[in-house]
Amino acid sequence: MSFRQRTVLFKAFTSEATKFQTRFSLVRPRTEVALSSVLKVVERPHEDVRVVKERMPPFSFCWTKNHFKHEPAMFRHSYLGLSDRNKTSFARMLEFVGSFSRLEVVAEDGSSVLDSRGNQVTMACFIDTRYLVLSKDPLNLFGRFDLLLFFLCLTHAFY
Amino acid sequence: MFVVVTCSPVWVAAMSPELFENPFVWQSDLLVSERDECEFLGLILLHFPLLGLIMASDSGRDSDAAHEHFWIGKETLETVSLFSTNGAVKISRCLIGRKEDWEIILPTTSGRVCSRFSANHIPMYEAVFQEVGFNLPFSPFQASVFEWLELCPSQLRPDSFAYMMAFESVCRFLRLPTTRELFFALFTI
Repeated sequence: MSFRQRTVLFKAFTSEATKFQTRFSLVRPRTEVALSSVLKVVERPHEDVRVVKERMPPFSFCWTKNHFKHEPAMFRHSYLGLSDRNKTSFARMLEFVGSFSRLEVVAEDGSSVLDSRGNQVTMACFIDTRYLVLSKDPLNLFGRFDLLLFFLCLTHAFY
Repeated sequence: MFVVVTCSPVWVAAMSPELFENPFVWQSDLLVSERDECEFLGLILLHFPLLGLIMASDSGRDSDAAHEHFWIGKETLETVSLFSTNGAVKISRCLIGRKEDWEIILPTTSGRVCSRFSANHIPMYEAVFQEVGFNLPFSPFQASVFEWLELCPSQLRPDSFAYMMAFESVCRFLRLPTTRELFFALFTI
């Protein structure tokens, strides 16, 4: 199951591993720190004492069909349903990506591609998902915004 | 034991669904629990026709199983991990997270990514670590996404991890709260 963007901000992440299904293993927390990261404390009523605190995994560790009991639309959040804070965040993200310079489309020989009116054809620039997640220091990458844009220009020129 | 064998498969399933789903486990248990060999042979002779009837119902059981696993792709049900079949295939331990905190366990040849494993064993695709650069532990945001979707992490393709991680990075950079609601306003499944 994959995510699809409702509002395109990120460049599509294309996996190089076409047969990733054949390479899976199991991971297991071996320390209390690791175990705590996949468990959360929940309270449930108890007959002897008022409540009992238990540590439960917040999500299933094995495959489950619970997801398929619901319509896909149930998992979406509409913009109108967002809190004011999330609406502000939403607008800030759009503004951030919208601030990227549009890329000039060039032909294979390096010449500019013009539209019927003779204007330079440009394309929107999005966040390069692959470069971002594989960066050892993504925050620093954003700090060097000029570098990010330079890289985006390069990658778009190739695609 | 006699009661179980002479009952109809449906009744057996009602008594113990997990045994009915996996007849091989049930047969194994039967052999272990039955120590008297003579009694066991007598059981086979007396109830061979009935066993045949049960075996004949395999096709129905298979279709039931197929119906039960409709939400899992055929490829997933059939795919054995290379890590369980080929010892020469190496998996890099350092990629998954702090090696003091997490360990990798290789699945058996009968295990599938969608199998039920022991407690706290989480099946994960190597590509999530190797290609996407994900490291354990799951962030609270990622855990909230799995919880909201009611999915196990490996039910999401590796690229989905990339989008979650990129989203988190952008939120951190812009100093925005990383919320599940915002993510699912931008993404859908």
